[in-house]
Amino acid sequence: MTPSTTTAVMPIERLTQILAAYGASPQRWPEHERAAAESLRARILAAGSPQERAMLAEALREADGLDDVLSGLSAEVPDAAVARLTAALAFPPAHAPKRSWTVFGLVHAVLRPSAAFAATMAALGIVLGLSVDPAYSSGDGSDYTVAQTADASPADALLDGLSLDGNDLNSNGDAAP
Amino acid sequence: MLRAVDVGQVASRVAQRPTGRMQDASDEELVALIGGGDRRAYHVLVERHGRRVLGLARRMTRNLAEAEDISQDAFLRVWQKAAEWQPRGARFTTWLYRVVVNLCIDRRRKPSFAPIEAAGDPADSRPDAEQTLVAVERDRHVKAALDALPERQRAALVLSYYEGLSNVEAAGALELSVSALESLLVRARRALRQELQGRGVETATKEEP
Repeated sequence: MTPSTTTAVMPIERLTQILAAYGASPQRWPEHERAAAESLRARILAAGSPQERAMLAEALREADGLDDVLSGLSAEVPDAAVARLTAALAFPPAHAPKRSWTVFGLVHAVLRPSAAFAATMAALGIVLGLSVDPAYSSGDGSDYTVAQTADASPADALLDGLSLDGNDLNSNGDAAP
Repeated sequence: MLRAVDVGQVASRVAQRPTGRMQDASDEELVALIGGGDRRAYHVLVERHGRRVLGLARRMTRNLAEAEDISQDAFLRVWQKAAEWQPRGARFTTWLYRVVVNLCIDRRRKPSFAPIEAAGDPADSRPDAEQTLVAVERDRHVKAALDALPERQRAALVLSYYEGLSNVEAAGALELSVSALESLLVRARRALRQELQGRGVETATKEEP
């Protein structure tokens, strides 16, 4: 949230703090304090006490001097570099971006009990000597099952096998209660 | 499903504008579309912010090749994480700058990292280039002094001074409170001044205002 503009009289200590942090250019000063700071600077330069003037002059000299040194440093970005970046990103990875955490959380909530059930059933299957297709097992106990496909990398399978409606899990048959 | 509805609404909103152009969409609208896998929105976002991201990364690393790598990584993260991004009142650019700054800091911590631009430009030996030589020498010192700053101090200075971010935006990019950012900036400028003075570079104007 943007703070409201400060209209109260600013103490000189705050002005020197602003100069020390943001430099001498008002455009870099905090927006909500800019008007008050500029007003105070003008007042001190025009009619401040000798002590105030000396204090402000010192802060301004330091801030302005460092700004001057920094401003001399050019860091132009070559057009060629921008073109290279644009070209390099012309074809982002083929998979779709990951689903939102909102959807993920929904899947998490829907599949979690079933995954636990599947793990229990798998363990029971081993005990009873039954054959369990590994494609239907949640394996590491993760919150969703991953359908193994012959031509997909594990990462692709992870992304592509993430069911939004739980159909994958249900299609596994064995896991459905 | 929720995301699909959101993306559809955003796409419809963008299309219904008088121009109907993707280029007129806000960053946040583009990110929502990218979350739905829209490559055209992605290209618009890259074109819109590519130069600035490169500039920030270059100032942080002082190595153009590294800056290009970091910028690519940052935009790939945008592609991968767009569907997860929740504005919560924050601007997209604040998040983007945070990604870039963190990537720069991570990269600089690697032992193999070397800011090749630290060596500066080759000296020009022509007699009429004396003034240029002075400026080049001063820039070399400034670059070295910036490089000597702790990472977070340099990031604060680059975001605030060079990138022109407001204090609120810079604080957001660095995941700091505004007052903590301000303290960081004061320390950064003080340290930079001391470093430059140690190198014989004048850092205070001579005339009183």
